[in-house]
Amino acid sequence: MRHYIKYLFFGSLLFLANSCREALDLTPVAARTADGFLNDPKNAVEAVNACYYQLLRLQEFNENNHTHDYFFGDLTTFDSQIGSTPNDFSDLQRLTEWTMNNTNVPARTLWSVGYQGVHNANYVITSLPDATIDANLKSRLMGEAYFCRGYWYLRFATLFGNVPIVTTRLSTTDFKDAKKGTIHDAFEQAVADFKKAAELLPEKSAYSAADIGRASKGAARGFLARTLMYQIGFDKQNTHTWQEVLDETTKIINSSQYSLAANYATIFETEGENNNESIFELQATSLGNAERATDAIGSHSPTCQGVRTNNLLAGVIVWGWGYNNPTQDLVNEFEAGDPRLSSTVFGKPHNNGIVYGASFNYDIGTEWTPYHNRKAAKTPGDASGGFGWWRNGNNIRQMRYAEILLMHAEALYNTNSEGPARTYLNMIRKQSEKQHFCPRV
Amino acid sequence: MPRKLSQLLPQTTWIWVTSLLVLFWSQSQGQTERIVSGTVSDESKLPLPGATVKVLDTKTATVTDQNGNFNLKLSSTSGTLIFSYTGMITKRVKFDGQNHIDVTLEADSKTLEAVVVVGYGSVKKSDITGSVASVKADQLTQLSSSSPLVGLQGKAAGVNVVNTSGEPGSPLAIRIRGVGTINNSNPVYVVDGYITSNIDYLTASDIERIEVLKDASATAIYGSRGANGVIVVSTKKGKSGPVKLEVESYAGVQRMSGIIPMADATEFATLYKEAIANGNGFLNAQESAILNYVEQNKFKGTDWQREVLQPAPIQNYQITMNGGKDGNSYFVTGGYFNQQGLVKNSGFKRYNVRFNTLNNLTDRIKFTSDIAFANSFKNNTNSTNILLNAMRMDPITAAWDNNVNFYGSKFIESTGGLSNPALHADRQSVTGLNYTNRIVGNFSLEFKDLFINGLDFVTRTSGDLNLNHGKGYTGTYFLNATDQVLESSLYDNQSRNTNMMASGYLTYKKSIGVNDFSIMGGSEYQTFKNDFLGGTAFDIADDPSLYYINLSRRPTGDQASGDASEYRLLSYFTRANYSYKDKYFLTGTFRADGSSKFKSGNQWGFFPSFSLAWDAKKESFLSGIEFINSLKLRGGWGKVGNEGSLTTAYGYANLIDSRNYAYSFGGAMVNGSYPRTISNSSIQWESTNSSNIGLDLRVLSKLSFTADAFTRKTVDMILVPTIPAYVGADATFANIGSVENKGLELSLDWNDKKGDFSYGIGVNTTFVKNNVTSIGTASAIISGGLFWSDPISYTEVGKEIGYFKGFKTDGIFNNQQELDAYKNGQGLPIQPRASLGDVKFVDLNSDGKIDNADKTFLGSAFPTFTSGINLNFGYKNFYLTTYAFISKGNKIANGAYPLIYGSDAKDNFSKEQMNRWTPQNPNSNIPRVTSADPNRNSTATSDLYVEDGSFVKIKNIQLGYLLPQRIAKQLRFSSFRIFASVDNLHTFTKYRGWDPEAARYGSSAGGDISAGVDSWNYPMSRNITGGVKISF
Repeated sequence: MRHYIKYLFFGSLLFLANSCREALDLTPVAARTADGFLNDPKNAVEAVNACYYQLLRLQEFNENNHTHDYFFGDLTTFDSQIGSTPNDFSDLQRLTEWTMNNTNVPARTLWSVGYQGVHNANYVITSLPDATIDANLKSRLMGEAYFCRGYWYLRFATLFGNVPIVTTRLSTTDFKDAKKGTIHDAFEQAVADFKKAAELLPEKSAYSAADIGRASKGAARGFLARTLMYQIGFDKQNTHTWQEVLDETTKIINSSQYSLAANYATIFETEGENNNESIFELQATSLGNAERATDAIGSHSPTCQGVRTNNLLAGVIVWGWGYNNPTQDLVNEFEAGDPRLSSTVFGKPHNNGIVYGASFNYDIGTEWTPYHNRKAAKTPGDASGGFGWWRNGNNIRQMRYAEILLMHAEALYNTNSEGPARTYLNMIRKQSEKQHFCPRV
Repeated sequence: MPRKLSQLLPQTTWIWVTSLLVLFWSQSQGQTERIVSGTVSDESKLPLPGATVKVLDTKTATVTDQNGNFNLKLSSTSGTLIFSYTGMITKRVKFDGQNHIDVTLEADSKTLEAVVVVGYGSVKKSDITGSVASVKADQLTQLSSSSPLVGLQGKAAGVNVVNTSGEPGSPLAIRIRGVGTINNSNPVYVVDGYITSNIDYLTASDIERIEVLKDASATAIYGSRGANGVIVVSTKKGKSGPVKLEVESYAGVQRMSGIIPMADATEFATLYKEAIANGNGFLNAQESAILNYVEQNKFKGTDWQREVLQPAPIQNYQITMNGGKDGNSYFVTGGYFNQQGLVKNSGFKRYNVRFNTLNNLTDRIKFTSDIAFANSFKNNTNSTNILLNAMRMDPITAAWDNNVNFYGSKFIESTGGLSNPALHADRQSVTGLNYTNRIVGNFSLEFKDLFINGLDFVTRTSGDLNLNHGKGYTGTYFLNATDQVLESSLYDNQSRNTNMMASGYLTYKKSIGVNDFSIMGGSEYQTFKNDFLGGTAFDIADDPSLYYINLSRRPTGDQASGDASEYRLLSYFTRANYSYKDKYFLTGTFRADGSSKFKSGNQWGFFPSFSLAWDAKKESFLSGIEFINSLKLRGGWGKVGNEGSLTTAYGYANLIDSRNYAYSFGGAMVNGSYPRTISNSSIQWESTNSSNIGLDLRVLSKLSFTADAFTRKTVDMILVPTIPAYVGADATFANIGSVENKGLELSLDWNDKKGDFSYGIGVNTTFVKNNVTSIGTASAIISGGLFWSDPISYTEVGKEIGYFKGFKTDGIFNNQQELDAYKNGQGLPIQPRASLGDVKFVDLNSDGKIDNADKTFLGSAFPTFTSGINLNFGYKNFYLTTYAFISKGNKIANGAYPLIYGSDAKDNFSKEQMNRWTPQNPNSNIPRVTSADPNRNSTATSDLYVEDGSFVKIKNIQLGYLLPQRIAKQLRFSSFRIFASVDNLHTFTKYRGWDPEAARYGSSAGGDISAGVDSWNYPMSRNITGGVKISF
């Protein structure tokens, strides 16, 4: 008996030794692993959505790392002044003085968010080909990822010039192998990506209502044309021609997917989102108070550019940070009576300071010019009043058919077809004449 | 996926099955009756009356008479008799047919000599080969605090205990022998054998004694848990005897030890107008009018510190009952602790109950059980913000504005999003309610002489359930357009940690002549699970009874969140001791730890150690020297792991980060997911190699001296490598760093008695030098963010973890000549944006400009040495104890510098600014005030931020009186003690902030890598308490 118990005792020790060896190989709980992740079509779509997320991220709630297109596009020109209190956000001052360095928050944020966008696109581009999802969906998703990557390399080329060209998911050790490319390399990467996207993406009309806002063939071609034109203008090693621009714009025009908006005044309003003139827009949606800052899908742009004092608009208190004041110089560019001015600026000297039928107060101490950006004005019922300043639902227009026509005209002009060029230019001029602010009866 | 049967079986089953089998076996016995008699005597042949004589494994027992004789009826012809007597070694005598047995018992030297718990067993203090410090219960209860270990501060060399904050219920930071890693440097706790990282369910009065295992030769038996030292806690147990009731209580009041002098309203108006004028800023007509009006009327304005701070009560009650007989004893205790905070509405409350039993089931089988329950409530206030905002808020703004009958709206538009701190202090009574219920059960069976003499077996099972409930309500208010809450919200979060542990080990001891051997081996299995569920709802009425998610008045928008994780540890360990003539001692340990946090193949870590000791007093050349009582030399080496260094359970896996990457198409939200971090499947244990040599000396029977020198080298330190932004993803943990700590510990104790007067002096000092030896490819890990300015903490090779780096300054430009003279080789100004009264930064690399390359070492938060001084005096029935804690050479980055001492005008000013540079006061060394601050006086991190954080703190002074036994007896007490005590009596320091000690871990997020960055943490209070301890 005693011996028997002895064996049992030591046997049980061995049992412990054996049973637990597997006990250490746990399947992660409450976590999804990347293995086979993209084989679920819903997941594959989510991975592409994460590419778009990075596009909007610059314009929305981003802690203190604000960076907006107009920081680089408008503020650094004679078209607008910084605005807000005199010492607010000194990094903007440095941008306008061209004394920014690598700690400049808007530039640094754009760099890191942009490369996160590139990473997300690279993840799809390198991993999705092996996934077992439907071939049509796969082709479209690949096209969207190429588009998003091209979008970033175009921005890098124009804002930074020489940047590393990353087209794979770098590991934590092989990042050293990435080579710094030239501005030419960045443009060429954008060209290659947009070409691939144009080949893979469907036309705008092929998307269902639930997918409105995804990159389309027309968007890829439009951005390709824009890239080629920038390259012709800036890239010393450029080998592209105006004919290539013309080819792309011609294809867009011939696709019959787009036309100019009937009323210019509607274009930048909520009602003009994703209209027949829209080539590509950053989709911003307000979920009202339900929207958490951490997963914002609204835009921060109107709060950033709003009047820096309280105003009551359609029963909601709206306010802003007062950045981006258009200059008199810009206002003077508009010919007397040009109806587009009212869709471009507002402010005390213009139209008695009235916005959406409300008479606004203006904080003179924070206005560097008496004007504000009408395209980014807070809209009635705006949920970005109060503390939800990232919650504006107005899309940020990135490319319109009007730009395609202008590029087309310019390409025609540069390929010795001035006559047809004038025709396309006049289409844009005529559109402005049709502008009106009230519904026509 | 089908799981193996072995996985489904609870891992503890085997232990219990085995234990029960052994139990049944032990109970088996024979059946004939006979009588045995004899005499029990001591070594000098004197009879021992009252000695217990017992038959092994039966209830048959008797006690010897006046002459040491006994008679015992037996039911079998053979068996074992057990002879025991207090203070004597229990003896077992086999009998087989004899009628008479005489026994001599030897005095037990063990009871004369302290036994030290070293993990999976205990050894005589004299046999210790590693570095172990012991602290007794009475030393732990001097301070009034919720933390069971706060009294450990300054008590043991090499054990640095620092309060992270004065906030009630806040944790301690305990660092044993320096900071070995930028990761988790917290020691692990072993409470009566249960291994845990958190002992907040215990109170100081639950603890009988503490052993701190410091060097690797002592901690290696805990393998992967040992890198940061091990604190072995033995809780109080019941003692055989009649019921003993004990009541102890203290109560008192806590006060701020100081208020920081800030500008009053008039001074503020002057400074603010000047700053705006100097910065070419803009004041609107209304602002100018207010400032002028305040100045003309010399208003004092609001003293915000007094608006948010208050004296607060503290009280503690603990009742204990214990007793037992016939080998069974019990201990039950219950307590209540309530501490309100200095910041309004902060506070901590705790109820605790603990019950343990000790049952000698047979002579060879002992069962112990211990169940502890603690229910605590902490109001998680946003105290850092409130305190800091109380400094920053302009004094013109009213705390309460009678005109609108509401809190005052802020007067200056600050970029900091400042909000009325009085409002937030008042409202935070419901913003961060935190309820914790924790129950810990710990059960063990100990078998003596299992199968053969000298073979003991211990099996232990522990369960630990920690339920945390957080709830917070944010009510609506409207101060102004940018400071308002329009819709109320409520969060309700529940988290649960379930930890289980099972262990078993065998110990075998054998003496052969002058050789003593013992060997121990066992295994242990521990599982950790936690899960979390939380919800948020909006628009809930402001009534505590309605703070429930189902009462949301908003039809949509409720938010839910959840998470879970699980990991396991499996271990095998062994230890062998050998001693020769009680003179030479050799210990070797080995532990293998497997963790599920790593990928198969990297899961196992092996942790060996060796140590030896030489008791020189036993040598002939010392034995004759009377004044030397003992002299021992120790030395050891070991390798230990840092299990807590990897904070994620799945660090090896390539995980998809879900949610939070949302976008919208067609006006509807869509979800986005991607692998945000680049995985590292080869991640494995971070480990520390350490060596120790030590000396223990006792002379004149009064003076004890211990010295230890050590090195600790952490290798494979887990770090997140710094990768360039163009990788576009987050790097994950990798084994890339190494850190070295070298140090010296000295402790000295002197105890003496002269008639009715007795006194004791204890001094211990620790010198530790911390040095980072590798951080992989990164040139620096930058941390320690401050308000408005560049980060200040850098971790770089060749320096301390998180040392301070910034510009050196050379005063200010007092006059035009100084400004003009500061030019580079091209004759251009080195600081082109500087004006008179601005800070002069030193161009260290002489390249003619000030940039990041001029930043340099400005000090470290780690002290050169820390010291504890403990004094106690006794005269008749009075006693006086006091102790001080000294920290020398540590620097503090004063987070308030850019806010209140700096020269810009974002916030209120320190009163010191009244002596700033002005054209009329050109000899000042305080920079001018300017709202623009083009020279970055305030925002460029410089030595102006870094202050000497050395301090001497008189932690406690206590005067007590023990009622004379005679009077106590008359009052029916068995003892009665009253005392008065002051905590944090005074701090001697040059530091300008509230508390140099709380500043040590002031940045709650950063830990050691941002140590010493003071974001003006909750200061410690000066507590004046009185109390009683009564035994019935």
